Amino acid sequence: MRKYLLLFLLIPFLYGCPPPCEQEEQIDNGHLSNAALSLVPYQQAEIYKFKHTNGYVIEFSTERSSSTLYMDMNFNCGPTSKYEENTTTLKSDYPIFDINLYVSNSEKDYNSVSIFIGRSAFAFKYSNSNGFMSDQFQDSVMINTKKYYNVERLANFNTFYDELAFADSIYYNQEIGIIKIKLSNGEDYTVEN
Amino acid sequence: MAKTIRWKIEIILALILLSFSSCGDDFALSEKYYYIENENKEWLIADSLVGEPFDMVDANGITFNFTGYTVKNDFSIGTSGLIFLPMPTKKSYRENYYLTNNSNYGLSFSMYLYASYGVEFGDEIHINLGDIIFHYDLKNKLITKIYLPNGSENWTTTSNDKTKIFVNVDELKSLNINHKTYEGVIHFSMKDNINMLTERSITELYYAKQWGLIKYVYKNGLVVERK
Repeated sequence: MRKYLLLFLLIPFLYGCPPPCEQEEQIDNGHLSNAALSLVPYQQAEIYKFKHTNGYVIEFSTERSSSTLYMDMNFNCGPTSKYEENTTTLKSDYPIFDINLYVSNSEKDYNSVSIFIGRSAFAFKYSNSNGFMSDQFQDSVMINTKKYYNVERLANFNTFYDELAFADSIYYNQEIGIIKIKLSNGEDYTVEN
Repeated sequence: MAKTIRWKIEIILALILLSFSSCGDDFALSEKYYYIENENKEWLIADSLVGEPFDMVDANGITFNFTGYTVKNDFSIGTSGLIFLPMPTKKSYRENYYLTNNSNYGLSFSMYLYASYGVEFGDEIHINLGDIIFHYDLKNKLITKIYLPNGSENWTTTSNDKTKIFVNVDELKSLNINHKTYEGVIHFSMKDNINMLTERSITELYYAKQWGLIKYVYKNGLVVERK
């Protein structure tokens, strides 16, 4: 009888402590390729300029660095993915916003690019075989009397601050990076090089 | 016999104290309410402007959109007591108003108006814009506290002390901005003698009765004004 009682008391403990997962497998996605890095065309220490609707030009300095990251898959019970992320920060002394761009190879089939401007967020995926993976891709766009090719129009997906939306959308291509930032108040910033 | 009576009295006293302590902070021997002077309530936002978004524009034509002010009226509770007693002997209720809003570029503004705690002190206004916080005694016209970026204590209200950041608050009868006159304005300013603030630090702000934030200036000289 005592044995059964002991077993009965042990059940909740055993249930609460499942055997640890064997997480020995690691998927190594390697380093970001030059092609992936070139999705964000900004160069370390370079100065980039954006012109506001009303004509004022704001300068941004560039910082760029890479780091290795790990991603647990399937709640620590699957393999670990090792990948690289490259961060680009465009910083200005002007009290508006910083721009942060991240490119990573967390997935094998495509590269992900995330862009944060103030409280707005944008992202796209680029497949080595198919190029930009988006419906908003345009062969060419005329912006402020200048024609840009292979342009991706990205919409803000951070709707947390609905009351004060900031950037509605951006225009982006692999050659220039951010071409235009459209604000929800009707103003915008256009690349000025 | 006397010893037994004393012992009983001690037990009764202990029980009384225990019963008080079980009441926790909800109980106090005395309670006092402190209210904001009516004349100082003029520093609040006019009812018609609560919740109304507004714009400010800088010298280069860049617009900063602000949400409308949210306003809360409450009492902050303070307790005090003798150290050997398990419950507070005095409980105070200090009236306060709290206003807040945000800009599309991520700048947040808030203002607390607190009732005075005693006759020698005035009601206090606490203003927070970006990384600057200052407290101002409306009766004595004094800065009572400042929080600077990086937690620095290097500030002074003495203008000839060049080893610290000079801070000053003055009250203006009126200020004209973009063809509009604002009556009753608090003007806060800082002079960075020790080069501690960044170019993106705000070093001047103007706060108007009934209107709230009407102007601020960055260290690099950039002026942002109510549209």
